[in-house]
Amino acid sequence: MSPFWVGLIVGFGAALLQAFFKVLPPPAYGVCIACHVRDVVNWVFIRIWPIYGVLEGVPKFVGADVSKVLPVLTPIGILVGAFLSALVHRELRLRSMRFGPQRPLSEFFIGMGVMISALLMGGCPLRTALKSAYLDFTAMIALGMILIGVIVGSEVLKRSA
Amino acid sequence: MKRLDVRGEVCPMPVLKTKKAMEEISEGEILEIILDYPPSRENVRRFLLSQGHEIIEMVEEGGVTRIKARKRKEAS
Amino acid sequence: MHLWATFILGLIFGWLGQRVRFCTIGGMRDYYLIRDTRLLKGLFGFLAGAFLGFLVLRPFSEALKTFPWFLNGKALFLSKWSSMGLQAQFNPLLPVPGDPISFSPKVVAHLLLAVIGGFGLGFLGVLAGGCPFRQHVMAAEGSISAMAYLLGFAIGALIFHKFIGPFVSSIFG
Repeated sequence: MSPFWVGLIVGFGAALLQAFFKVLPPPAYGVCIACHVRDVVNWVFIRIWPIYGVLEGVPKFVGADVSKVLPVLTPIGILVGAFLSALVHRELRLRSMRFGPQRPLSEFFIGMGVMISALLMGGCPLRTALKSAYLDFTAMIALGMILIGVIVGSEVLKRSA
Repeated sequence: MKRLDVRGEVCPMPVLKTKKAMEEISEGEILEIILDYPPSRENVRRFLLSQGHEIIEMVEEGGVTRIKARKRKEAS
Repeated sequence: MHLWATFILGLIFGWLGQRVRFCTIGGMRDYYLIRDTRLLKGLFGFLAGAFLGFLVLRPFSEALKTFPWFLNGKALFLSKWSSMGLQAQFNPLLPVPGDPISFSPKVVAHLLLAVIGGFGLGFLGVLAGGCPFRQHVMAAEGSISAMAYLLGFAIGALIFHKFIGPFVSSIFG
């Protein structure tokens, strides 16, 4: 089972979702880890604290079609799917990483930074790939920038090995 | 025999450290890598093979994997 | 109901991704550090699958009508709807597929954000050990670090919309 086929299936699935299931405005929204998490979070948050939503007008556009119905459930599906797979193949293990940036506290901040970067850029790596497949020029440039960021980060990792 | 313990570490650290350790030992010497992260297991194994090193032993017990590999002769 | 469709896709993706250790950033990293293309092929597969999907499904669906607009030689930027954070707001000043290609200040600002965000995502992501997807899978496997990551991830979304979004909007318009 190679990653290639997994990618193929999911990529095609994303296109499918956009075509037939109206996971639509913005185009190329079939899969996105960052955006969908953002949608779920907003949806939950607005219910807990409606004023928040009004103050900053979050359900402006993406929020709009999202906060009426329970929004895209992709992240939940992913967590469940991965959990089940790990369960079945006996790879479940509670663990905490030792290595510098990967300690829970720093991971917390990195996670925050990643989400913010993703939102600035307009997607997570996956969705940026999707948009590139949709032939969006900005997305292709963004993808290239991700690559450069990865290269720089890898060098840092290399130094600390 | 040199021992590299990367238990508790995630990709890419095990592979990176393996790479570095391999560079530091001399040919014919054996490196033992101890890890406990399933994806790294595959990663390290494929890395060693692609570099031409010889994998002498790969043992797995209770989630911990020990790999013994011998550094190959440098192309001269 | 798009709800369940996304859930199911997530399910499949999560399962397969866990088996295969799918990760886009990981693919780039592994290739750069040790010339290992295994994960990278996953990314290519995704691109291929999506592209193919768009191509094949286009005649059947209204939603894909804007697809290969470069065939008309027009705007290459996925304009108003393009991103989700900042530009999720409808912005009449951004080009629409079909418009002639232009490099107005808005578009350039748009690109700039993509550059900065992209770099940040690559850099931080690889430090964290994976793309957001991989972090989900790791958290599901039991990694506490990944769970912390996800927490930060979610809170980052809130912070972005509350503070950063409007702030950047006011600079770039």
